[in-house]
Amino acid sequence: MSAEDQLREIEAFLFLEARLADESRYDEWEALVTDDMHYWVPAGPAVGQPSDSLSYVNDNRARLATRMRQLRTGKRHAQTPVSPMRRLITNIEVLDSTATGTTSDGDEYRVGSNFVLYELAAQATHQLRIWPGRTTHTLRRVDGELRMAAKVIELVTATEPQPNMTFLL
Amino acid sequence: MLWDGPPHALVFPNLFLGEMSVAIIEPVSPAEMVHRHTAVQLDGVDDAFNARLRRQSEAAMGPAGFIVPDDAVTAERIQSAMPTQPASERGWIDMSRGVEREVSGEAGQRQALVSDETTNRGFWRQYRRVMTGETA
Repeated sequence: MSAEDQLREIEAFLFLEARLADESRYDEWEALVTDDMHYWVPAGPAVGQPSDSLSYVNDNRARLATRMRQLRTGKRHAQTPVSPMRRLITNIEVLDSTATGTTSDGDEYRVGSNFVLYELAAQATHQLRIWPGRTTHTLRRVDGELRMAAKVIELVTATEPQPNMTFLL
Repeated sequence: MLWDGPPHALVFPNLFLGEMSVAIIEPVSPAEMVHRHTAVQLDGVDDAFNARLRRQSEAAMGPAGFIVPDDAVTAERIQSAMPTQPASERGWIDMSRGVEREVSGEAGQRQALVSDETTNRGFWRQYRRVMTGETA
């Protein structure tokens, strides 16, 4: 696969992942993650060991499954109704890769991108909330398809008090 | 103070102890507050235990957690009814649940059932005392 084709494949994955998150399509979004997925939203820069401090989100696969199960009940006041959202993703760069020209299972790509997410807090205040930040994805090829093994989100506002963040960032 | 079940306590006016989390409530304006929290960490225990307390606090208390965000939306819904109404039409927030079964304990404390609003009434009684000097 050429570098150009590889970038297109990665972009297509990020755009799909973003759209499923925007539309709170929990089952389809969860189908994109690997069995060892780590989903991390630190309360500051993403440095050091996540387990050493308190994060906004620090989900291993089991905890992520609990989060998704909770959201799917439709009984979480914090996401009843779900927040209408749209995010823009830009500045996509493949930072690192273990791929060696041919595509094979187990190949990993570390991908950096910037985003701006617009969220309507439709549960109570009806404020439009703007969430800018940077995402570092770790994508892995599993059964020929890209899957998400890690998603690390560094919010521009990470060190400030946060409103509800109970949707998929 | 909540004794029946996992212990919770509010130390007037803004320190909250909930199980193994500590929270401080900082009023910003009549319509805004900041709720800061952290996990209790113990000296002289295996770090795996403290790490578990950190994970529990994260899961329960944070803005993406499973407890406080639901409470926050409920508070926002209540708050949205407050400043938009003229004072004469604002009505009241009823906090009388369990008032008829409240009893006084030996240390002067008031007791009722875990789901009663004894603690809420206690907070506002003290608030009035501090703000007006009235003791009624």
